[in-house]
Amino acid sequence: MSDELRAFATSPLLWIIAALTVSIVILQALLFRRRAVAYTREHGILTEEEIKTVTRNGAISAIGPALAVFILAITISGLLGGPFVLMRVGIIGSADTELRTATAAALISGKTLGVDPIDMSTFGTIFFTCAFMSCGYLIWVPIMTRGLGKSLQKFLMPDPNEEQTKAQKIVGGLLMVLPLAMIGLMIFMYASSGPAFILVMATAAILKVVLDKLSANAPALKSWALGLAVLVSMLSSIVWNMMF
Amino acid sequence: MNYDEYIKGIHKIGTACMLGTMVMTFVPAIYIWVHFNCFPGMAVISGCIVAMLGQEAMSWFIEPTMWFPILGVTGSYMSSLSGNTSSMRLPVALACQAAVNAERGTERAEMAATIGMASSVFLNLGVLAIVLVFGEVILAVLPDVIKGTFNYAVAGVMGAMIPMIFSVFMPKKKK
Repeated sequence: MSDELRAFATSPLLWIIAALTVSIVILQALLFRRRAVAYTREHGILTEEEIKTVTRNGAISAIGPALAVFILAITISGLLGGPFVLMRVGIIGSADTELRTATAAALISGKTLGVDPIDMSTFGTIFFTCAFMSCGYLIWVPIMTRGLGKSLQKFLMPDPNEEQTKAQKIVGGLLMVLPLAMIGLMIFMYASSGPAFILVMATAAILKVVLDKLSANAPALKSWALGLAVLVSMLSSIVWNMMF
Repeated sequence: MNYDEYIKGIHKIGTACMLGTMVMTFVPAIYIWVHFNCFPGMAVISGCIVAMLGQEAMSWFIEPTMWFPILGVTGSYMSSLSGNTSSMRLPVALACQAAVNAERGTERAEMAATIGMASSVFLNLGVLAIVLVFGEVILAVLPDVIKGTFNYAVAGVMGAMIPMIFSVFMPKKKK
């Protein structure tokens, strides 16, 4: 990232845009909570003590997963700036989804994120692609929650005891294969970037498998598995680069 | 208010917030391309759109539809907008419903999940903001050799996804 781009990526303007976007998420949660509490009190659905309990439980249950994003959030911040992370990781997508989307956008722009320096145009394309990625959820959820999702749910998630139609098999197959093909292409592009990248990917893959197995006995580890695998594999690049 | 009136208000608020967020998320891209006069061209944009359709179309429809029975109307709006549905919102909803012994599909379950998830949104964004503020400080003091490892972050994420890809094609173990 050039100095000009880094200056813009961490500029007050971008922080303000990110903050305004995130404030909509906070506003929605505030208005929903207010409405739910009013309805609950009016109809005696939950006692005051139970309202306090779920308020507290909701916050406490989120601490672990929120902190687990810490590693990836800092990493992406180093690559694309804090405002990008606040705007993208703070809403809609998870850190790894946003990073994959940003990687795909950079690749289509002719750059490999983390390998090639990105320019302003690519940075804009990354923002556009991430915004487009989230459009699907933002449009579909209001439609789905109004009852139009039931027929699609029946089509996309058929009863396993029922015979699937040819159309269901084709669509189901495509919807499984296409994302894997995209990820496979990105893995290939990084593998082509040099032996250190291949070894970093191998390190991350092995660590993820190990951590997933360990999390069977320590469920709290599950949220941290991805972040830890990525962090350790990133640090391993120091060793791999010394060897090659 | 009765339940229909409650839900009507939820739809109005939810839809307005979803659309407002959608507009805001495009603002940085439009600003960059116009202010810096660096539009990449329709070929790149089309490629990005097609890539996202291939990568995310399944998640767009299946994920919210799959979680709807547990999250309900309000939970679906909140989890889709704030993200981290399976890693954070869903566990929070289930934990809050269990804490008040709410039976799934009841108004009690929906209200418990809604109030609990709202707390998780506030906490998550608060933690993220703190992380980012301190993150900028941390990044500024990191030695160059450590900063250099950030270039391998994406490779690390890709590598961590390899086991997931293999698991899709591995035969499932019979119970």
